[in-house]
Amino acid sequence: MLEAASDETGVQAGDSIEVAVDVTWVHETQFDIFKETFEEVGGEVWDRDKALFMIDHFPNPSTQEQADRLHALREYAEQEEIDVVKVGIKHQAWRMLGLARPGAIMAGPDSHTPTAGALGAYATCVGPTDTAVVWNTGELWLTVPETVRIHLDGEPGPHVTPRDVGFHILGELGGETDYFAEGQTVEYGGSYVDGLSLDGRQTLANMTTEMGAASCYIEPDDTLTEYLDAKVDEAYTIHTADDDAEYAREYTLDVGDLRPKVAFPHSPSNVNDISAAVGTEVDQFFLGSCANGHLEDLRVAADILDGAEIAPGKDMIVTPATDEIRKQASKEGILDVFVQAGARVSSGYCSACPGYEGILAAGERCLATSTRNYRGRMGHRDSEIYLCSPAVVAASAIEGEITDPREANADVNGRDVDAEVADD
Amino acid sequence: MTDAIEGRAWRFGSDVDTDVIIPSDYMRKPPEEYAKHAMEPVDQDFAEKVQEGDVIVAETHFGIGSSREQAAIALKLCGIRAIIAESFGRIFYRNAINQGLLAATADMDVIQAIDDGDSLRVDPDAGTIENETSNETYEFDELDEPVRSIYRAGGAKAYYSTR
Repeated sequence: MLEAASDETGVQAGDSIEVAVDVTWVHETQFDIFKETFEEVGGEVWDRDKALFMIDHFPNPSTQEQADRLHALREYAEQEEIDVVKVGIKHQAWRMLGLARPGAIMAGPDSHTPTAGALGAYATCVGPTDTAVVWNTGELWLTVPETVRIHLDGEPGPHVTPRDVGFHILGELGGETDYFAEGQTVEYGGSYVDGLSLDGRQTLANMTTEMGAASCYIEPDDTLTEYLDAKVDEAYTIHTADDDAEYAREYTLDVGDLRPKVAFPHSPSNVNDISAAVGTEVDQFFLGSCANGHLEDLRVAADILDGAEIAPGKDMIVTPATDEIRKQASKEGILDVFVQAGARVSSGYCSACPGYEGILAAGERCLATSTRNYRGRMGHRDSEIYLCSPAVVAASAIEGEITDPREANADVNGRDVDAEVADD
Repeated sequence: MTDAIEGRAWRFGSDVDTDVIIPSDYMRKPPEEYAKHAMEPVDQDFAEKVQEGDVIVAETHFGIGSSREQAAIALKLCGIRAIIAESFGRIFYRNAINQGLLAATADMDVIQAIDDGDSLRVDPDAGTIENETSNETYEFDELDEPVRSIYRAGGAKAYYSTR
């Protein structure tokens, strides 16, 4: 795919090549650095149809500084005649807008860019300075990555979600070092992946960032093309792996008897079965992020929270990834489940994951479907983030402590919430 | 010709992530402000103690995590001029070079031979690290193209505006 986007032939892993970029963007936190370099290297956008400003880190400014920066970005966008997209988190927005598609080369400053690999794109993260060069030239130099193939078979039991499968991979393969696939492409395949919806595939692709991957690839199939047919008019190219494709490493994992997983502080690879975490008291719960803010994720959590209330004195933040997802969730009555349970439902953006709301004080603990749990990511350096699936966060929010959703679900329906509050 | 870098070694281990290099809460401030908080989660007074020309010597995957270029900028504004590590987070590596900060890989033997506080003289052209404290000289890996040209130009702004 990279060869097709370059002037080269016979491209091999390890070669440094220049590729033509199809989709590039800048969001508000990287705008200042981008703009400075962009103007210094020429300040002329090579193709206005391929460059976007995307607002998803603080679309609802809560400080004067944020408001001023958004204002400056909008003014600049108008001056440069570049579209501003504010519809939710970019990784889900690209899919919704039909921009993430097979064969597309995507590059810009957001580490979870490989999420678009679930849609057959070559999507990689570069910094704002590199992005400024791309906006000016339309090209990006990169080192052609080696590929790590992860083959997933089996059918997991109830309440074991794609997020748990991703944690399993991080726990099994990332034990020695967090970033076992640093700079490489992680390619997923196997019957488990074939059976996943696009939501589940995006969760798996998103988690390759925590494996260190430069990009992710899931071979396009009917599930994808049927989705894109309704969104995309232009033709796109599907690249398939060569029959004699060489992989740097290949792994085969069976997901059949997995249990729900929890990643302990302060690394997404610090993974344990949920049994090791059950009973851990939690102050705040967060459902959202580009890893788990999909409609399917909200459905899983709402199914568990339906008719229940979150534990007294606890906070829960629910942030659908995009406006489109929020609207659909509203139609399905899912948002109401969260509201009735006592959760705070906010609009499509990065939210609590990188600490834009729900900031933690020293000693506080959050259980979250966030992408990462590095020290200090959501607030004080002495706060703690435990990562989990939408099912685990929902079941745990009801109890106020980390709870196995396979046990919780049995007694949620018809429970006497008032009596529990009285007992507390 | 690129000038040699002379300063003290700041030793770190593996998997130093960008949330440690520059916690996101400070990132919203101007560069001169957020740079004062570089490495704060692991070393409270790092930014104050670092002097112009100092060198970070780390083990594997230095700079993993988010794409924030503020991480490279913060270290540069503190006075760090070179980072020698066994390996880097891919994005941080690009950002560091783009900011004109020497980011070079070296064998783990080299990393482990350097102690915190050692006086180093790093020669980017020769690819050598002289340890004036232990009187040893080591080599680091040669930079590939186009990385070498971008670093020599002083960073991406200079490289691409003259190209």
